[in-house]
Amino acid sequence: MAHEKVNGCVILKNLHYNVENNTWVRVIDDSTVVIGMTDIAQNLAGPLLHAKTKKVGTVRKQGKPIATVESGKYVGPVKAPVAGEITKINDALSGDAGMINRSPYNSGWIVEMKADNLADELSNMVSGDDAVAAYKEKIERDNIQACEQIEGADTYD
Amino acid sequence: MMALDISQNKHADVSMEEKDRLFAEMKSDDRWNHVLNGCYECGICVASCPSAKFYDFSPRIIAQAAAREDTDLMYTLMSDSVWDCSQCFSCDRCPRENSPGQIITIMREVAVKNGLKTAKEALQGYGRIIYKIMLTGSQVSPDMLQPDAFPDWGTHVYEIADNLEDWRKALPPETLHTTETGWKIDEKTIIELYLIWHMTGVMDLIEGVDEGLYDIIVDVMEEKLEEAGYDDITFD
Amino acid sequence: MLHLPILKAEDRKQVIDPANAPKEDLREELFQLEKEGELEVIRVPEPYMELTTKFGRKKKIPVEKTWHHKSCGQCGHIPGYSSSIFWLNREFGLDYHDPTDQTSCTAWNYYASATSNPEAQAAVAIRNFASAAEVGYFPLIHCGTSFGHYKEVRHALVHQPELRRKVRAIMEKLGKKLVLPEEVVHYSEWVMAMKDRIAEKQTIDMSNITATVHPACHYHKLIEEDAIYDSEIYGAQRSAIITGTLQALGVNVGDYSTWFDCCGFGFRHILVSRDFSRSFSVQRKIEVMKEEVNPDIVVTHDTGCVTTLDQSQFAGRAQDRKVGLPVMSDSQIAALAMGAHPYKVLQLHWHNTDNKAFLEKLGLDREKLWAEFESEVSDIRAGKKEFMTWEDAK
Repeated sequence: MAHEKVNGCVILKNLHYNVENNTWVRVIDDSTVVIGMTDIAQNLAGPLLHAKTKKVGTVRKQGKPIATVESGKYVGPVKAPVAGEITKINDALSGDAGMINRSPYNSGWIVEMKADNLADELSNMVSGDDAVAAYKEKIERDNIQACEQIEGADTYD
Repeated sequence: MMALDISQNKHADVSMEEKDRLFAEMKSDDRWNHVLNGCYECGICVASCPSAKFYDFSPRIIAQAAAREDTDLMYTLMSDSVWDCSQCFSCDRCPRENSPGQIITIMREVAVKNGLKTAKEALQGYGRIIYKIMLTGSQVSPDMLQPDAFPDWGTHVYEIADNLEDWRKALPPETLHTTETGWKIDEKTIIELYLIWHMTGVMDLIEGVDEGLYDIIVDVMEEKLEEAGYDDITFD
Repeated sequence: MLHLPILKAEDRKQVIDPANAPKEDLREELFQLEKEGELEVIRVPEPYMELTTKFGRKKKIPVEKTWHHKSCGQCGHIPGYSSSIFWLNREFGLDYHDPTDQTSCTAWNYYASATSNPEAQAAVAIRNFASAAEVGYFPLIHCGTSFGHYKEVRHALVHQPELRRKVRAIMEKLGKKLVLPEEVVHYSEWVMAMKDRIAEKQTIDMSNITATVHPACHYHKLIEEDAIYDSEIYGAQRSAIITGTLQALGVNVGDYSTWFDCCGFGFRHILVSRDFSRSFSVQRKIEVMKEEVNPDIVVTHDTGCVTTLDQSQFAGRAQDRKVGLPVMSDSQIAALAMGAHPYKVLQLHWHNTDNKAFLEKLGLDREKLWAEFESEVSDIRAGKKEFMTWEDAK
């Protein structure tokens, strides 16, 4: 199966995750990645009102914000899972931050980055079955309640 | 109701030196001698305290511990009790002219400054407000009226959220045609607020309480400073 | 057995003698510091009105040339509150300033999270006062918490030279002076000082209305000597604020046993310990008011109080508590009495507890008035106009 659900939260096995910061990375080539928030992250934040990304060309260290998201009850950073430079941003988010809630892994992608040292950074992230296991643990530890259905959750591949 | 445990050495993991140091920090505050004149346990403060009716909380115990300089108990109270206070200052009716409410304000500031775990927990809900102040100059914004934010205020909030943009335009005062901010505010004004927060150490406090929040505030404000032409800001 | 004469509360009149006031008149020290070059005082513009404070000192209340220090919660969530204050000023043709160079007082955050310190709080206050002074207007404070907090800040700056020095240095870096107003004036004091002029222009009879009054803690408990008292109201044992205004409008003010209690806002509780706020306000305020007075309306004069008392009643209703009292500010009631539109000016659609019965009791055709407002909104939606103006709100 290409994805698994833990407490109703979707985890795609072909992505790499920074479990602590709840971000995912989709590898495009050996230095390009697409970044977004996980299903759990969007669920915790609630229906998003605003998602403001940093500009194209911004250079970021790992762990520093590449975007700020705001809901009715929460505001916080989306932390860069890798160090590098932002090369593309998802323009659609400025008019419809809710896309992140509805489709966190596809149309709700946040930025594309050119990573400084991708191979190294990926080794610090989890993927596949390891990711599912890590999330099971996090969900239990943080007592995360079930996620609500996201777009196309049954048809992810 | 969670009972307040004020037994001696409840926080055994913290050394007496540290507890003494923290109490000394409270006492060194300029306000201390104005808000504490000795307590004779009349209990008038407790009688008028709203928090005392719903929590195991007592302004009297706090004034007593402060007056007796019981540094161990003051640590316990700073960690486990001060966040129950409603900061209404009904206790200012103290016949000795103490202000347990202000003693608590000082204790909270010391807790935040020293990064106490319970202070960080108490403030988790407040990151949003601090962010709002910095970015918009006001503590709340119209678009915070969302169903998920105030569920116990009922279904009326759905109507507001649905009509927000148009209802805000249907306000006579020109400064209120906003949804992301409380009122229309000048960019220069927000920058001045940021500079005040830097110069007075508030940004450092925020960094100590919530690093993620600190990062997003600094990010936005550094951009604004650049755009406004501030080159080299040094803060002493 | 000793038989002691029992005095009724009405018979115990507080004798106010300013010469023997237990608290100082801060203005004396303020002007002294100005002489010494320590700060500048923003004086109350003439002509001014006068009201009596707790220990007899007369407080100067400006009529116009006021700089409206807006409230976050009002402007953000109950904008009819701010609108009604401006409307009153406009009806009297008064010169006022609604600034964009104004920040929040940040006191709600301060009392909630303590993620600040006295220097920061003072600097924020002075920055706002300086902004008023720069345009030549006198600050009028909309929020009860801002008011109480600014009184504390002013008191601290007058008595602590080190704090003054720090704040002056910060202001210099911003190119501003260290200024303090001669008086810290709350808008409800302005409304009360104007009450007879408001009553003269009253078009809606309110003699069939009973109200309960809730005074904001930060109005009369912080720097108590500065609140408004009147020997004819509560025998000067409690602040006359709001009550004096309502009486001038012919409203019957009903007394209740928990008058002194806080509303339960709690500053941090209203966001993160909400069960406390809604329980306290329902059980200690609303239910008591309903049981002892059963008023048509609850009137208060602070943002947090309106919010807590109004919004908490939904949870109360869900639990079959005896609630259901509409809540408004004194400025909204005063404006309504003068004929202000309940939706275009008072913006009552932002309030939660049902106020239809109250409006109907005043003889207002609520449905027609709502239709008038909705027509404005339709015009905005259809692009026929960008905003509803003061002209449209007449």
